[in-house]
Amino acid sequence: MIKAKTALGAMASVQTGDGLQLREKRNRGLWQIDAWASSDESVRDKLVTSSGMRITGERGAAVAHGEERLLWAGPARYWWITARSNVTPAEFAAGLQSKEGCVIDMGHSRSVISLKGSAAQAVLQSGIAVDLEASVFKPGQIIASGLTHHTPINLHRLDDEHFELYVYRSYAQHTLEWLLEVAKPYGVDWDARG
Amino acid sequence: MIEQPYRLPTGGLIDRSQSVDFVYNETYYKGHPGDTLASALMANGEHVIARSFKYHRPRGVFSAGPEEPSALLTVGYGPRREPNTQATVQPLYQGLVSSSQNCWPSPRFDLGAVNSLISPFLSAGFYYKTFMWPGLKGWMQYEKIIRKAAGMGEASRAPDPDRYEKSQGFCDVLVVGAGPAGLMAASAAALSGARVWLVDEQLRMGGQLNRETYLIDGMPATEWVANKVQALEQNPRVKLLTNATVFGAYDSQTLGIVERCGADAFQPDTRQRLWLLRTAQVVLATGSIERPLVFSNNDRPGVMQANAVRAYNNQYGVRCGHKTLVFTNNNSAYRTAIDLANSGQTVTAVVDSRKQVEPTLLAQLAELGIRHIGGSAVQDVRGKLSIKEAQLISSDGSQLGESIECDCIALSGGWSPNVQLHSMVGSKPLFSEEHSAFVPGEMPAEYHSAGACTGSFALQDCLSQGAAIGTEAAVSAGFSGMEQTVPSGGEDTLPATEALWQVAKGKGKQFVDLQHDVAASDIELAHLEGYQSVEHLKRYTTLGMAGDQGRSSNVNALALMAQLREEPIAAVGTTTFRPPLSPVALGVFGGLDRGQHYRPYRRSAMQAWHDARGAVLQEVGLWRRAQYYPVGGESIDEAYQRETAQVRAKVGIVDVSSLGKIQINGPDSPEFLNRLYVNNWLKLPIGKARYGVMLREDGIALDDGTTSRWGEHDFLMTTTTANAGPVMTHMEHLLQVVWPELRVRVSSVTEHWAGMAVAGPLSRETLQGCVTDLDLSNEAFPFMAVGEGKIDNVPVRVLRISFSGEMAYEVYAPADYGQGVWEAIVRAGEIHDIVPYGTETLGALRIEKGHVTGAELDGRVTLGDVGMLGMANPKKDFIGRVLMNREGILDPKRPQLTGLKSVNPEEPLQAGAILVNTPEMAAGVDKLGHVSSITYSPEVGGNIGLGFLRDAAERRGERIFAAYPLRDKIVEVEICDPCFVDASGGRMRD
Repeated sequence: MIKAKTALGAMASVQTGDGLQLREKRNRGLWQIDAWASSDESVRDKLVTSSGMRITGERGAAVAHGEERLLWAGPARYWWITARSNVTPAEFAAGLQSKEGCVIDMGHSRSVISLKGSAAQAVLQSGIAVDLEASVFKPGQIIASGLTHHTPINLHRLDDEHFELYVYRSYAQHTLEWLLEVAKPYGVDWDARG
Repeated sequence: MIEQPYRLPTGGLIDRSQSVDFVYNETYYKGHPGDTLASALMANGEHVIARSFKYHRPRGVFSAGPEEPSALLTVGYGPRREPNTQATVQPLYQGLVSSSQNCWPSPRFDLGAVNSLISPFLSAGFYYKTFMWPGLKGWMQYEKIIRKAAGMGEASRAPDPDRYEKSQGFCDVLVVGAGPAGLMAASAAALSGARVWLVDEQLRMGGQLNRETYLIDGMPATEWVANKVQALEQNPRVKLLTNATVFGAYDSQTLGIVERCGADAFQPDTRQRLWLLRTAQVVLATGSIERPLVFSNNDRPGVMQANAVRAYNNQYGVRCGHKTLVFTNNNSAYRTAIDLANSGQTVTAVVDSRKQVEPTLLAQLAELGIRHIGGSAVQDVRGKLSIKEAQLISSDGSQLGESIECDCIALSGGWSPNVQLHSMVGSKPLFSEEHSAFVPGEMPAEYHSAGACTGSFALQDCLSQGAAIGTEAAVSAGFSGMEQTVPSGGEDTLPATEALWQVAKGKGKQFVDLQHDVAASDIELAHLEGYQSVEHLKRYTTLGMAGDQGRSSNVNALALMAQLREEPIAAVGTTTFRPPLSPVALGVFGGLDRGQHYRPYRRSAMQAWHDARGAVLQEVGLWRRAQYYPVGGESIDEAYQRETAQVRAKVGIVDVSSLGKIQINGPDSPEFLNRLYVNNWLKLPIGKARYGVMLREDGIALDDGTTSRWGEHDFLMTTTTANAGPVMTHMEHLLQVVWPELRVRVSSVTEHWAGMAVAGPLSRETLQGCVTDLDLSNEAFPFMAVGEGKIDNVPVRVLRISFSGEMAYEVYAPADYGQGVWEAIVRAGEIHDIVPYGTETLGALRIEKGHVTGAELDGRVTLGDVGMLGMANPKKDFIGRVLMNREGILDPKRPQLTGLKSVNPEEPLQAGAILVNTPEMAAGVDKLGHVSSITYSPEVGGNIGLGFLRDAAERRGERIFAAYPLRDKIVEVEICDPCFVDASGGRMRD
């Protein structure tokens, strides 16, 4: 079997300090679940049952359980992040009727970069025109925005100093290079091994 | 040599325990932390440090802040050389290197001062009236000489090596200015629970309080400031920015701030940071500036703002002279005389243009032994490099007075509130007769003002107003206001300014704008010549332009123009203030968005493979795609012609990952596609693809591509690379706004799938060598079939579609497996001599086949123009159907898609060339169409192209000309069918 190569796997490691720790989250599947306006609630209920993660339909809702995530991705749209080897999403998709909604495997469409550390918010705030203050953008929320106005991103906050950045795969290397540059004054730890 | 001979033995807010070494004009000096470059130079006795813009007159330090018009130096060297730096705001740091500018050999002896001798010929606008001969070309030469003779410093021509950053800020209340009003406003807003930013352009918070000897709540004002700042620092909801300038106010309470991150321009980290701050409420506590007085030779080194002389005495522990004369039209300058006397300096006299002065002030002067001369003014100054004496005159100009020996004149013409930021948000300044100055007019509800910038000059008023406005701003931002205790600032003497706009003229020029050498006589000339509007005055004389933006000159100039127009100042008005308020380094606007970070670089999953094979990359939007793969030093032409021929003869592979891929799901998907595309989509079978064209609402072609059906309600659309975004947006708009009732979802899966096209007569054999679980025989998998298979156990999608006109397949693999799948196909194709090919060959192949792309579908082309009118199903409705039947769009005389072939096969065509009947490129020649795409075709054995031509079908076989006047090139071409290879399509289908 051909070996998977992530977008950031070949990027050289950098270790200049601990202000910002960067890691690529690998082998994560991303399943997009779409409901119709009339079926949002019922699909969400099924999704909660199937994934074991309780999410509301509110804008920006995000749930993390271990390495699994259930994220609000738009009106009546959710992302289920789980290991690629997990067959539950496929079973969920098979059980969903088209009159209720649809499920798409988009597991290779995004690179996920974890940002941890005291400088994480400041580094992200350099490129994102959304208020990232923890009292405004709270842990357990996700936003869709642009990084430096060019790169579409989704940003999930796990705690005050821990974020996960979802970026289109083709933009991933540029984004990491940008993060490494912005984080220079704080000291950065990027481990290419993941 | 005495070290720092003008440094007072005690006092000031500098750190005397440490020394700072710096260089000025190649000489080493010492200063202290807390000094500015100006205070350090003055401490060292350097009082002539610059030459003026036009006349090269000697200049010294005039102010102690950002209003400085004269003390402009070049700071740094090499690529970090920054000219026109105001020495009065440049913090001193270890190793600072500075130099004078606009003078040679030195500011004390400058050959350029010869300009002063011909100053009568260099009046305002002189260059508009002279240097006219011999026309524009002559002026271009004169301009270089004039710019060299005048002007300021010269920036480095090397790239700026410093690091600049940009960031976004958010708060509830922004307070601009950390003087007494600003500090109170920030405290009050913070007390109410608001997130507060307090921004001040000085290194030390406190504003005017650092320069005065006030007591607040019985303690020295500087101590009160320190306590206040400490309390604010401890509040996590407050952010303090010093050494930062709010340079612009924009819509929706967005403000631009440049933060000078360190005093040291050579810091290894960030030099400056640009903040884009969005806030709910803004409190402007921007203070005021002391105006100069207009008299002869008022620009001589040693003539300074009274407030600045006080600042150098109180904040920096520097004397500005040995014998200071104070010249004023208001009360505030008396504090200068008193503070200087209290620190042991000699004040020769206080000259006041007013006849009536408060007795308490006179008593204070008398107690200190300072002479007071009322109803008088300084008419002229004697001395060139330094002041020798001041010539007095009665303030009404009727009687010449005595001459008084002095080497420093501390002058005060009243106070002008800083209303620039107010003005930027639409507040029209109003002239206040009480203050003889402009004060803020009505402001947007989200903006508030406090302190001296409103005309409240008494300390107690500033403290009270700041507290009240801070609370008001917090309440406006949605917080419940908490009342802030107001400290006692004691009794303060108000300025009580009596306007004195111009003293009776003496022997020298009476300068109004020191930075641009604009004198009162220039304003008179402008008036005489009809430039009486303030906007015309500004542009004719250059008054108020340049780095200080006329902070110290505007009001005096407007008053003089008002006198000349015999109108009140309010009727003359002000010019418009625009960002930036102060000079901002261009680098900070770029921030880190330079070099490799200028814009994103999108990489396909196979990028490393292309790089390893030495592919030459081409920018296609944000993507960089392989353009061609040179072998053994091939040129681009050699490479793509080889690749093209190989694809036609055998097989090639190209990376098509950048093509837009849109997943369409939902029970109403067929209906949606049917409304979107011009052709029919209701009956596309599962496992099949179909070519489609979609129009814009105005009937013009938007994009083309294939859409394949993978399930009952599961479609995959491909778009051109360029139109991936616009098509997705178009579809989302239709679903969300036009047809929200359709149960359809669209999702971009461009990034999920790595795409590669395998093309050529041996493409099937190649794929059969690596694809499993999918029968690729013509019978099982005919043209336009789609299906799922595996390559080395990786599930892939295979589409039998062709852009090249050859038998071809597109293979889509999950992106992380993209490179592995690509390599597997290449391995399988090795026995068939597979070649990788790039966009250049991709273009050549499709031009040979007559397939259109973005070059043809350029936003002006209709279905009929590209010969696809027959695709449109007349029995159904679709986007663009109504407007595609407009008369102009159906006009048979519209240029139509055509093939073009160079008559001389070796002669290349030029994209964009105009098609004409005759070989002359004369103006007015009848334009028949244009060339849209060109290539060399190995298949045809010559240069070919596609284009649009009037009556193309009827004229096939005729010869016309493709003219390209920009390169004076004209090529004879033969009109032919746009499909140059395999017109029957047999190669694709069999």
